[in-house]
Amino acid sequence: MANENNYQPDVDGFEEVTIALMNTVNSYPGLEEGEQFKFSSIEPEEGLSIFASSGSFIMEDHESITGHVWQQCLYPFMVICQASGLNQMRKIQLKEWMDTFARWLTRQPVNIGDETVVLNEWPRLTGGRVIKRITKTTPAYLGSINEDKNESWIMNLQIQYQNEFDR
Amino acid sequence: MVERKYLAHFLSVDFDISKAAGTNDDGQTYVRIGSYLEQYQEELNPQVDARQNILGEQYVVHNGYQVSSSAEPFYIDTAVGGRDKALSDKLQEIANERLTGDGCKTFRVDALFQVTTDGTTTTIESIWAYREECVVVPQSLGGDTSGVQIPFQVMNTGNRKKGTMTWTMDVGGAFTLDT
Repeated sequence: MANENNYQPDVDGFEEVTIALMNTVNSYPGLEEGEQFKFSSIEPEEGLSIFASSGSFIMEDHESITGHVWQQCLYPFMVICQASGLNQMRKIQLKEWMDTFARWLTRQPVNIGDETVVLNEWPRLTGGRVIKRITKTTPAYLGSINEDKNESWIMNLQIQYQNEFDR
Repeated sequence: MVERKYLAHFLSVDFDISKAAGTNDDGQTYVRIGSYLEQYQEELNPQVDARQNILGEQYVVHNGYQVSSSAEPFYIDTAVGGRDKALSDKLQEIANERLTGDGCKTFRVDALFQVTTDGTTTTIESIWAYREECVVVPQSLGGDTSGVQIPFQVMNTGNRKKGTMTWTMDVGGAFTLDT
């Protein structure tokens, strides 16, 4: 992954993409009833969270001969699942759940129960921003275990989107 | 230095050079090209031949220019009201129907604009504008995963006329021939 420190932030894009992402992940058909992803919030024992790794930043900036600007932007983020008291089988199931969720979010068909479900379109943004792709950059892995045996399972993904405007 | 956006390039999407002139313009429907072009130029391709006579003197034969331009990438725009929709519709028709001859013939206008302001009002007017007949030929249809592309070439065919052009970023610039 590119070093985010070398790039300009897309400040307005961060908020817009975050809202669209949270709406989308909370529409995942594999969520239990009442289960929701939270943004940048760690639950004490169990829960699902989305963390923006570094904010949005502009990877490429192009300007056409007409003054039309298009920017390739990146929004890296982490999915964190908090769980406690997991035995070996539950750990395997949790990792599988996260990887299945990532496949769905990257628009691959996944099986949930007896159904095959697909995310038909990328989350919609307003204005000149359009999501081009969501990709998984790491598989789900055990990030940490605290003294209360609470485990944090982490998975990294990124959103590539394009922003266009006239300068 | 003049910002590049003030040298503008237009194509008529009517593809009908016999179309009657309007009251205040030449009657053609122009669109501005270059939404995703980071570079575009009129290649003059001067036909120059430097020769030497029997006295050992060099002389130059200049037979004019073979002007053309290449627009790549050009992304197909299907959005209703999209900036490049009218031209991409026409380019697809040319490519799909394998049109030749008059089916590919239209007008191009190239114009340099100048911004002036008197403190309250900003005006953008053409310093010069030239219209010329040309042949527009799509080069391919497809491209990479960045989007469906139909790059094209514009080859000038003469009948060059001077006039004035109205400023626009989109569709609808009006060209008026000098009298």
